[in-house]
Amino acid sequence: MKALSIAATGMMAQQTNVDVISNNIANANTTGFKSSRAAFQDLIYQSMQREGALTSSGGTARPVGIDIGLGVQTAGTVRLNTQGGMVSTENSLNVAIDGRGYFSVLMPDGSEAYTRDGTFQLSAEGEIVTMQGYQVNPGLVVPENTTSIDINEQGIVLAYVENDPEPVELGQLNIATFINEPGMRPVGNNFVLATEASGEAQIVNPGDPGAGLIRQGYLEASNVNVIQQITDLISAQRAYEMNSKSIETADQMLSSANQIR
Amino acid sequence: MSETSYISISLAASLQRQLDITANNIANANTAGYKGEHVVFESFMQKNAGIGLDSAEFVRDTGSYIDTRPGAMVQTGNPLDLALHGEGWFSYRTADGQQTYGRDGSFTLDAQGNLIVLSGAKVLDEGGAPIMLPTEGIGTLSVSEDGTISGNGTGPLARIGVFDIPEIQSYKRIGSGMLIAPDAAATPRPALSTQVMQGSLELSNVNPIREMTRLIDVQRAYERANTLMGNADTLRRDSLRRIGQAV
Repeated sequence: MKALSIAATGMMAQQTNVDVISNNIANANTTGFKSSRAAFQDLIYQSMQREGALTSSGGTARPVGIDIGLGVQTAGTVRLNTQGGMVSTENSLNVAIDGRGYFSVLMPDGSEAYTRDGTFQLSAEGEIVTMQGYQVNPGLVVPENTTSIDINEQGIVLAYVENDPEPVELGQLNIATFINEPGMRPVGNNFVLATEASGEAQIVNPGDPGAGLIRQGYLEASNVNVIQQITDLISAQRAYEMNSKSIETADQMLSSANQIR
Repeated sequence: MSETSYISISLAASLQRQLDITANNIANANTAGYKGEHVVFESFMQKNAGIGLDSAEFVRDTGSYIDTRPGAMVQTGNPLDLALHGEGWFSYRTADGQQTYGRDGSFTLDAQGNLIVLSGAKVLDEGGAPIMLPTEGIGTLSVSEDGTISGNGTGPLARIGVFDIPEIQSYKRIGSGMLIAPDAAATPRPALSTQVMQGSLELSNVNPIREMTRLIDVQRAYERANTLMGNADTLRRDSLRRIGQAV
């Protein structure tokens, strides 16, 4: 009786499903967070009787066979890369990307990480950094005595220093785009890394074809649809219960078989 | 053993297979594009089965068929999640070069711009060639109802193949939501009336209530078969005892 192990794969899949959903709900208020969905696929099939097998010497063939599937597997968790809502913060160093792309960040070990979270700060040296203190590429430095900072849609950063009415152009925030965004690896702290699956980062300027625009004074909210997550949670729980019923049935059938004398 | 026990065994063996298939349907209740599998039973009559018996009917599971009814649609908002509205099948090419068919429309792009499913198989266009999209400057993809893919401000890039397969029951399941054609099958023709829905996924078409009642059915029928076997045994023991007494 394979039903025991088949139902076990079903229960494990639903556990993964609940794990992914809980993480989405936990991050419903995380800036720039993208919700994920666990995707499932059926496992291989055992053919007890093969379709197309000859049933007579006259060439007639069996139209259907008996295929018994061996359960389900988690094929992957797919990140949904839609735009999150824009939340106005009125902080001049809060920026959001409206469209595709990621800010690129220089990690302490010299590698690059990517993020949609534009909650930036200034370091003691005036560098634009993330909440962790990591430098945001291309490493713009805001001069001392700056009264206000202006970042336009193309990501060009202008600083108004002291009483000078003419701003100083500090440089341009660039963004990285990837051919396969769900293929990037999340590493926590709102960072994702480039992988073999996501392809190489293409560094572009905001507003280029296929790239998003920069919105100053806004943060991108998470794109988690909480109602959807709750309904998914209910359906995952019921599916888990159904699988446990399969196990119970198989168990009772085995027990009934044991009672034959 | 007498004929009676063999009849009950034929039923019990078929029921075990039906339980396995039902458990697999339930395990795949949340698998996108999954189609349920059901067993066909047949009684099989043996004439002149034994002394004093005219005939006996054995149970045989002669085949299992794919439930091709559509599953519910769920909106995911992901531009590369595609669902088929109406009959029709997507076509894929697996890593070992096999051409397969399925309804799972949870697609993604790889680093080279190939349109793939999560198991890595490439999605084919209507001519049967793998779909490859440019890796730069396409922005958000849009897919029209006839399966034409276009980028942000670009013209049509490719058209997703949707095929009509009337003889799908003779196809063999290989897992990962895919079916392969039997030898000497006709080449599937493009489906004309099927719509491709962007941002949606087709859920599994497993009906939970039906599967749960089938579980109960299977269990009770199995218990019945076992009781029958036990009764036949008691009867035989009883007759042996009586014959023993008479002597």
